[in-house]
Amino acid sequence: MGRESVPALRMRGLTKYYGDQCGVEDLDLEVRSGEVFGFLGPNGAGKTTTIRMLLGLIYPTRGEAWILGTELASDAAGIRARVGYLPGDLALYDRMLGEELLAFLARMRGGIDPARYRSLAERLELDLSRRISDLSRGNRQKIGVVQSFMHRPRLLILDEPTSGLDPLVQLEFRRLVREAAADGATVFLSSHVLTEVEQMADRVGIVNEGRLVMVDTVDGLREKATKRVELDFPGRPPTVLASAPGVRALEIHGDTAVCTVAGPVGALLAVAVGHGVLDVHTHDPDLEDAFLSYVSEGTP
Amino acid sequence: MTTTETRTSPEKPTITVGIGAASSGPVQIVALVERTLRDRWRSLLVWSLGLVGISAVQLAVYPSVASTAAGWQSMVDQWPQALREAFHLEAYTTGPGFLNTELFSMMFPLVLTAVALGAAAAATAGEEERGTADLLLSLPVTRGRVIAAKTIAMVLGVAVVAGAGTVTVVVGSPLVNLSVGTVDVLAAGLMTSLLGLLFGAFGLLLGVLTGHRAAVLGGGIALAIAAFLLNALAPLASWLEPWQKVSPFYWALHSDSLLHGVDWAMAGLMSGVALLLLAAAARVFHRRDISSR
Repeated sequence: MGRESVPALRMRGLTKYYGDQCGVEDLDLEVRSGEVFGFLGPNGAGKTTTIRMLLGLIYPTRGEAWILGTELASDAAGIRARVGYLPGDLALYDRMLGEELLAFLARMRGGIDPARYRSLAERLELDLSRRISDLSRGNRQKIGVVQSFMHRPRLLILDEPTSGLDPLVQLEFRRLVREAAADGATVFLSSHVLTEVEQMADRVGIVNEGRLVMVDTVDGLREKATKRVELDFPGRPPTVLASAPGVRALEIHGDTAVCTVAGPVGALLAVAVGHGVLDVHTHDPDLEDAFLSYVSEGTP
Repeated sequence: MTTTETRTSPEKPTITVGIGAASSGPVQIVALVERTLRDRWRSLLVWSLGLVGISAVQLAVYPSVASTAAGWQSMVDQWPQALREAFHLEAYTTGPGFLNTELFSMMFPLVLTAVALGAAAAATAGEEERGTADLLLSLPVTRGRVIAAKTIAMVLGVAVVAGAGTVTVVVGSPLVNLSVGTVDVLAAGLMTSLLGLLFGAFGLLLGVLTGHRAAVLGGGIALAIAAFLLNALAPLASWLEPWQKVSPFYWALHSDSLLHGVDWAMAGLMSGVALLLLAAAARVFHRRDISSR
């Protein structure tokens, strides 16, 4: 019975209604053990609702979830021993020092070598001797990151983990995620911007208005994403470019043709070469646009 | 509850991963009680100093009351009997009677109820309102343990303040020639502590039901005042009188602990009702969605 065969996270028909607020509906999702999974969606799409259900903070209206092979409803507290969680709207005990808070959380988790959280704090350049009420938002978020990683959880559930972190710290955070994944941990992280997770995630799921609209690998998403190709011609660009395979849109600005292309660009280039193209500029696939095209479906 | 921690995958022997929730239960409760008390020690200190101060002032007044005993008694004798009973004026000039009227029938219950309600409001509603509930409840701790720890912290807080007050009375009484049994003072401290804790338990239930501190404080204070008035005014109105016995103030005060020591039946009744309220709170809290900010 290898643990590897058991998905780290499995939701079946997971649904949460509350009042008139946007919940989530019929989420079916499996996150493989050892995978870094990006859970994407605009604000209010239901990411936090889903995550708080997985932590046992709120109860599903219907549906089930298994975490690390254990059904959530059967032993939520036991599951949490093996999960690291970073709340999306992080609130800490303001009167404590950073070190005191981490020591408290460590005790609640059955004891953790202080060297472990101190070294994490050091890597994030976090001063643990300061009172939490005196810390900036970014530094509080660092405490949140440290406490979620410090017990080497098998599953990390991180809700908008990089919010408030400056770019250098974000870099170190990504390193932490990669290291955890290399150690065999599963990472489930949410974000409302794709670019934030694309470097870390193996796969992403996009949730919108409480429903999972797609799950794919980042590469898959990139392939489906359109990119922009600019072609310079000696004169007015030929309109026949628009009918080349893969071209979704063609704009002409003077001597330059701006093509929006999905998939390989070979066919377009062949046509362009036939018309004496002078220069080619390509732009990376705009994943953000691809992401937005998923989440804007069905909304005006 | 048993942990079903089966670690079959070949991992490094990290110490902490394998510790399930059940194995560290008492440690968790101790850690949480400690944390809660640390958060509340300032408030407890202020309440303790307040009760010590009030007790000291009242004791300081006693010699002049005792010296006018004869005049007082003849004055009280002219008042309606119901009024005399309601405010325990009959024995006002005796040591226990004086302490009863000036401290244990109102000040102690009031202060200890306030301490208990403060703890109850901070317990779950405070964590939810501040948003720290998400962090706390994402730990491998059951909600029942959180309620248990918060209850223990509330009991300890009330005990500290009640202890400060009763010790002041015990130590101060001989200094002003007020004769009262030490055990009886402790008994009165215990009965009024249980009264405060009873309202605190009610407050905790309100806290898990609503998630709002204001509801805990408002509802708790309202109930305490209603109970106080019911007990105090019942002897004055015949239609109210049968209802006096449902007032927790009656349970705590009627037996006159300063003369007769602990009324174990009433102490048991207050503890029992408090435990029922706490059990209800734990049950409600277990099934409830934790509100996010």
